[in-house]
Amino acid sequence: MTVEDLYAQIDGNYAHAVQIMKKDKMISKYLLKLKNSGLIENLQAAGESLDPVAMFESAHAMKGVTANLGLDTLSDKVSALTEEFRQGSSRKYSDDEVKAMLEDICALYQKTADGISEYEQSIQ
Amino acid sequence: MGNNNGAVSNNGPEGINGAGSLQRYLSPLGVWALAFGCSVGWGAFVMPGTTFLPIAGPVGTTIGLVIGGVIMLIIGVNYHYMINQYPDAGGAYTYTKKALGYDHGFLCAWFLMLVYVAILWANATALPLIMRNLLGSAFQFGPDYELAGFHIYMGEVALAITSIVLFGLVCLRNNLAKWVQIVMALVLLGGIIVCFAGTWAGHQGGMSTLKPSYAPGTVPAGGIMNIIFLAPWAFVGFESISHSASEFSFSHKKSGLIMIIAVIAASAAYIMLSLNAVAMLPPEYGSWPEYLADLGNAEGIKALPTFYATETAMGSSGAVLLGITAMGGIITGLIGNYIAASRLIWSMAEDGLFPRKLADISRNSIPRNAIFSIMLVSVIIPFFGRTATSWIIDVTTVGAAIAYAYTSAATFKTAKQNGDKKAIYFGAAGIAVSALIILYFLVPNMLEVSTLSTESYLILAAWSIVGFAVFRSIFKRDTERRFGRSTIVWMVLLGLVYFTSTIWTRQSTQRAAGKAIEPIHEHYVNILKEEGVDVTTSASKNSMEYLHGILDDVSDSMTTNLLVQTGLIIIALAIIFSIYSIMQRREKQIEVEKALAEEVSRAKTSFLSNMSHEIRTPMNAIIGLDNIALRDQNLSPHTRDQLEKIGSSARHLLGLINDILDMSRIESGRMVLKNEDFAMRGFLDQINVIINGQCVDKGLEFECGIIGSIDDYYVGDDMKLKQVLINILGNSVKFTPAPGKVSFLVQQTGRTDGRCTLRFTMRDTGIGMDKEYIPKIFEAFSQEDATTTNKYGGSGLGMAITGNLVEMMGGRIDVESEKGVGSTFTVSVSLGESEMKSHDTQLDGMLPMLRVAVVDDDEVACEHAQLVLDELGIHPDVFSRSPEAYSWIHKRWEAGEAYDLIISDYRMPVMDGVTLTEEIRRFDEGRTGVIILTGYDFDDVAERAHREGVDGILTKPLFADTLLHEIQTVMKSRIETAEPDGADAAGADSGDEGYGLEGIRVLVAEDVEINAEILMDLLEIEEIESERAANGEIAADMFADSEEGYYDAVLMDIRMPVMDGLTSAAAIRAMERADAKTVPIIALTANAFDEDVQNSLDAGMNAHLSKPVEPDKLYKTLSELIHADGKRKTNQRDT
Repeated sequence: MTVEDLYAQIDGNYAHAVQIMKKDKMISKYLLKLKNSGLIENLQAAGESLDPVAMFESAHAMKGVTANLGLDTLSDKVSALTEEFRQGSSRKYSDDEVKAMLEDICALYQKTADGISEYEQSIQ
Repeated sequence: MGNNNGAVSNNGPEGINGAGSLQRYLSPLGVWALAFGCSVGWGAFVMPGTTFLPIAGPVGTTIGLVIGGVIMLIIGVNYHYMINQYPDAGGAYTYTKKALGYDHGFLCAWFLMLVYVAILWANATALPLIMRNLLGSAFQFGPDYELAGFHIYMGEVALAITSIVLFGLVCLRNNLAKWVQIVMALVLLGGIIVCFAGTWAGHQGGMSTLKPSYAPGTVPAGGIMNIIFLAPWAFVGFESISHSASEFSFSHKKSGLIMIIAVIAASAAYIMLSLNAVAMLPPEYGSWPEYLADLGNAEGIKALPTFYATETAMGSSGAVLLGITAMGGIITGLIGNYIAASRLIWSMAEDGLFPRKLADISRNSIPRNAIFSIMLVSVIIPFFGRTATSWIIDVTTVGAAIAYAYTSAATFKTAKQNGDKKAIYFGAAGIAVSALIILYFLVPNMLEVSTLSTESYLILAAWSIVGFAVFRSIFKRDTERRFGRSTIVWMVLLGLVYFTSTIWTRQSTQRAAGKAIEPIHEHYVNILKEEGVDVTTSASKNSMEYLHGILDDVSDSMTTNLLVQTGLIIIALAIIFSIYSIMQRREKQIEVEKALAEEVSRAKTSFLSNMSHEIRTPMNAIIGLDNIALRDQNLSPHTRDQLEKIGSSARHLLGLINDILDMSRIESGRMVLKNEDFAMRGFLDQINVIINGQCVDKGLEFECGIIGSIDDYYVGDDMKLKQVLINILGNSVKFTPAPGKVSFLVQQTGRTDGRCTLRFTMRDTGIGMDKEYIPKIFEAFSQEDATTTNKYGGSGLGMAITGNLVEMMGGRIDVESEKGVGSTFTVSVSLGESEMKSHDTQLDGMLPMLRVAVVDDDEVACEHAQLVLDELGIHPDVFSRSPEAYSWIHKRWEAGEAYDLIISDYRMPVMDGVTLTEEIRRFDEGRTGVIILTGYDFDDVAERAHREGVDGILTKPLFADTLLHEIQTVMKSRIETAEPDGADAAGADSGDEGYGLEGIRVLVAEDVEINAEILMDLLEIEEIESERAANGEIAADMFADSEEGYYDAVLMDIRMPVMDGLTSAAAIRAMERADAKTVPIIALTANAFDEDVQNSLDAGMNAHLSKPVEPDKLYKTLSELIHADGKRKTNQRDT
């Protein structure tokens, strides 16, 4: 399984990833790191309390990493959460809607993580 | 609920304040004493004889007073309701302002204030009258004078002033005032009861003295009605307790009962005194009507029937007792009205209607300044005498009725809001009764008796005018916009002024005419007598009746005319105010619409700004993917065509989004102009590259030239200026069909006080415009005709943005155009003079020694090249024809005086620049440096030029620093060519083959670990060392702890915990070390709007990169910033 195959499987933007990381090796390195980064866990924890600061911090961190990796769909979804909890902007979604967004993000992340695991096995 | 010693704020009993608030000191008995004492004053002892009994007789008066009392209770219910709604010191003023607005509140308070002070004056000036009856002429000493028929003695004036001052001082102590009021109120009521009982006990004529029961010659019902209408005059003051509501030490729910008891007691007091007045008649009169009809001729105590009866029945002790009782009435009137008026004035001052000083509360919780102000005004009144004062006192009935009407209206409205049906009915009944009372008093002879005295109408008019003036003053100071919301108030005041002054005129005229009848009559009777005509008494009487009849007819006619005139003026006024009201509403609507529009505009701008990032991201993806897709060699022509169209549409859409964003920023005032040094060379190069490309694509000729000399650097916003020029030039290209020409000329037209005026002239041979259309081209979404948009496209915002940007720069755009011939746009802007100059180099000293030839067929270009070279100290030979130039160059070579450098235009007739080079290379062995100037893309010329031996290519127009740089390069190359073993300097320049960043060290400030690692890995690709800081604070610390020059650059994430990037950058820049000021700091953030960029720059950063960072952009930016610093370059070479 190649990195490009993986991106096709997880709906990632391979071209974008290459534009940023230049090499498959580097993309691969950080995809594997993403799995153990704890970013999604932080976001889920913040989602439990819906504490605005925690939500913003965790979403902002995840948005940056996923954008660097060309995981554009995931990055866009997390970006919506970032803007929702950005200090100084008014909330646009209800708590229930935010939780639904979180579930959507977790599901997409899970699909990405599964794909990465599969890729990891294929290169071992 | 109450707290005897507590203090309350003006907002209700719950607001417990310290000093500066009113105190809860009034018990139910104290409140009753206020209500009763204010209702019954000196008038109660006089009016039975002078007014009540002559109008309605003893029985009629009794019935009238009972019914009048009941009506007052209706008003009392309304007061009770509102006291419980708003228990503060304002009373009717507060109720009106809360329910109907401040305008109405003012009108109500203005008349109510007059009521209370006028009653106070009535009581003070009554004191000398009592003394006249009790002590004779004891106080009639000192200078004396007569005013309005009343004899005024300074002794009596002093007595009245003493009472005003004395009881004013009593009111400065709450408890003292309360107890004096209670004692005097009890004395008043007790005295009346005792005197009534004593008088009737000593009465021996049975009930016969009460005959006739009603006033003779009148309809009893009419008399009773008149007494009823006099009720507000009789009972006014019972409601004064509403001004002390915040000082009650008990529940406000008891206020209703207290007012009922006070009104019943007052009613009983009036009835007892009225019946007393007819209990004993002087022996010379057979009945009370005879006695009262002759009251004007009575002297001494007989002039006061109540006193006469009491003295006759009870002896002199009875008269003294009644005198003391009357004193009680006067004192309670003085204290009660002092308290009511001071609380009202205090409350108005609290709202800013009167000077704030009047709202001061003393330490013992007294509105002291308000009391002093009343005292100050009141001490003047006794000098006017009792008659003049009574004109003012007459007005109190109208004033009280206005306050009653407003309180009832406030009750009605508040009850309606609260859904309280009972209170709604009472409110409505109160309004109706009050309105009738006002009409009764204002319209003369509406019923049987005349109401206000003639002078009272004038006083009412004057008070209304003063009210107008005060209202104007308040309105002017009304920064909170509480006033001016109701035109009804103005109408009422204006109507009152007009109506009362007209009535006064009418009454005065009538009185003067009445007075004139007698002398006229006498005059003609005398004439007749002189002529021997026998004028009998009966004939004389008939003629008098005849004259009075005529006067009555005239009077009736005047009344009719007055009513018609009043009606017409009221209609006209109503229409005027209605128009004004519409205007005011319209203005208000415009204000609301403006505020809404501003809000919408802010929301729009905010929305657009926030959305820009979201919209641009997918747009970039579309364009990027389209480009990737187009690289596929196996695409079918059809698919390729479609992909190209997608790309073209996407770029167009991106352009539209950018235009809309720019326009929204300009409209919202968020567009900020930079004021930075910029190089004119790079500036014009960028414009030329874009426009030249467009011209080549379209088959147009493009020419860029500089007229005269311009600086290498200026200060201004190069980005925005570039946007302006590219926009206009882009339009020139768009609207010029091939084969046409677009020219771009730059000229510095002036220099004063550190500012330079630059004129950019853009001329085309395009389709042109009608002259009529020219003024409209800078309007948004304007194109000359609808087909233009379809044919040429565009958002319709480009020129609007251009116009706005030039305006922001303080510049101007002039347009000349002729349909079918072309257009010329001239942009003039003022730019700052820059201190930046081209860098000196080791070659600078050699420059004057260089032998240089310039070859160009364009005379302007030749002249400009000569100017630029002159600036560098080079004095070239100039040739306008290339064959002549070649001959001369060759001749010099052969003579051993070869040129070091040839600067030649590319496109020339007969022999172009490259051909000229080719010919030179045939004899010079490559020793002569050759630089070609071109107005075209490098790519078109470069390959052939280099092949033929050209050393450098420069785009027109020529700049000193560009040319210098190129000369340095070319001359070094010549030196190296001459010395093959020379230094390997060629690799030092940043060029196409690398960024020259190897070995530099970068501090990476990024909080998210993975992002930091990615960034550091990317840096490693270019062999850049990096160190990470997890937040802004650590970054600042690491920089501070490092040796000077350790870091070559800083990559600074903006959004970080602990300390953000902006703060960290500012902290680094503020450090006391040389590299803190120079180290390049690059901001990294996901947002790339103008203000983010501006914030980064403000914090001292050098550049701004959007995340996720594209490696090439990162390297390029680092390279530009680091290599721009000569020292860095040296360091880089050393590593």
